[in-house]
Amino acid sequence: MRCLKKMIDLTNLTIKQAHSSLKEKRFSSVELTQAFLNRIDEKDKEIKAYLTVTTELALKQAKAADEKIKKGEMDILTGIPCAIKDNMMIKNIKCTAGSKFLENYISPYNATVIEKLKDCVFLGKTNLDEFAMGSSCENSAYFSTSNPRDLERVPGGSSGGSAAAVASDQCIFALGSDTGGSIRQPACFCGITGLKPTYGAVSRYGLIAFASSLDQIGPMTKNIEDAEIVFNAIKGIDKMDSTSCDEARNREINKIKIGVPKEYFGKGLDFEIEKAVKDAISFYEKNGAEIHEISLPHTEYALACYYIIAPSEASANLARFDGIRYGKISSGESLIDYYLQNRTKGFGDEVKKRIILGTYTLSAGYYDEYYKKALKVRTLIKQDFEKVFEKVDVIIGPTSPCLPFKIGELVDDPLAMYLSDIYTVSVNLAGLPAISIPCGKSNGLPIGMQLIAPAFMENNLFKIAKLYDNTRN
Amino acid sequence: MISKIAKLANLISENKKMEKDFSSILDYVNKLKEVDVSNVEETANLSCSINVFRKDIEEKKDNALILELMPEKRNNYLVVNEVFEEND
Repeated sequence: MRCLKKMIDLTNLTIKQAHSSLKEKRFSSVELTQAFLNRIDEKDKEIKAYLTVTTELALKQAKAADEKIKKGEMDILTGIPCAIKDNMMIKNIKCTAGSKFLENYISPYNATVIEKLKDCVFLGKTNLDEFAMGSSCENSAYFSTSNPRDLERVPGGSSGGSAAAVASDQCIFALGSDTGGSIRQPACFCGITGLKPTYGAVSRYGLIAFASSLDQIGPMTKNIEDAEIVFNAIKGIDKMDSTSCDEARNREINKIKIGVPKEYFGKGLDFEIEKAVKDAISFYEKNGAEIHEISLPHTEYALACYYIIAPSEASANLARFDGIRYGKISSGESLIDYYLQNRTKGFGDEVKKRIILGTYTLSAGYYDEYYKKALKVRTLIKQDFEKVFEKVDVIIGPTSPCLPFKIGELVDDPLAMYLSDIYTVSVNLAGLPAISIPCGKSNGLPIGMQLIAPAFMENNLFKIAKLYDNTRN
Repeated sequence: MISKIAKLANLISENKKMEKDFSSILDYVNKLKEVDVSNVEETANLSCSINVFRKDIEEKKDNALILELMPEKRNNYLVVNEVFEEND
């Protein structure tokens, strides 16, 4: 009985708790891993967070971790079970990106983040919207994932499987990727913590590219401290990604100055969310922070700007999927017919829509009107933030304007779906770090707030976020 | 025309829902026309990167897994449709 009780308790541990227990040899990494595999076996039938469970690999890694622990060679993540979004490559493991195109694709190499986390235990690959394009996980070519807080609702997206796995104790932490909100919005919907690092802070090598000037990998965790631990493990310059760098900036903070953008509290924001985020801001004020009402005047153009730049980059990145070197789905009489058949059958509707949109906005007659224009608006959005950060240390607002919606509720209204990313896309366009943390509930559904910092100031972001979290708990 | 460039079969004219979605998104992004961008530079890239060069020497890589993924191969070469047709 003692053993059974131990198994039940193991799956809700944070990284730090699991680490100290492993260190004190209260249980082994193999026992911990087995507890998670059992949990997945029992729980994932209803949540469907995982596309692939890598039992064999996980147990092999756990055994290796136990050896290291025995020898006293462990660090904070040794033997910690985690889940990886299925658009990051683990060598010899299937990597689908949520697409039929890659149904049988076996990764020939490790992503840099995987190399950096190789002392962890990889429990499996999590569900996502196809090629990370979506806000609900409903665009996965395989199945929808349920929100563990309410099974009829979406977990958010595109890193919905990772968020759901963390929220339902099917892993200790997970990796997600964020192009326009794909870490922060699902973290918010599932009531967990999600960090989108500064552009360039984490290597993208081995991440299946969606929009290369916006994509970043980041941690999805049970608390802020864990997000910091994982971020410190995966960050840093990588010779395989020329956009990565080692920069970390610090700003001395005596009295925290918080910017509250008036544009983030306007039309379309759910009343309960507004109230919860404002309560959190009052909490900071009561604890000595200075609150400044600020303006990010180009906010209303951010989503339109994003829906030109992201599809443009995607149309170029996804040109590589032609069924020739891998992923053959169909044959064709001629070479051109072969391309057409494979791409038409391989991609889902949302992906095709974005490829066509991006091809259109990059085409000779429309390049200036759409793509070039969007790049200029992007500059204005970036400058809005730069101006504000001369006065404040952090910007706080809601992560999402709406609560998690029901599965199927928005599939016929793509624009309404896109609008759920309205507060997150600007951050990617400007390349800034931002974290979503839980700040309340409405009818049992989680509410999240987003804290945004200047580039490469993740340290301040963690510090300020923890003030709220530590005092509240 | 555009879907031909994108190497997708002619989807828009065949798929009513996609056609509707596509035009609603185009209408939405046209919002950018309101913004005055005179004298504004473009931001295409945010990275702090500088050019990185590697030594010009052959890198030995393990190709076995990549070869494994190929749909059809002969003597470790990828088999593809012919690029030029007889009339070309």
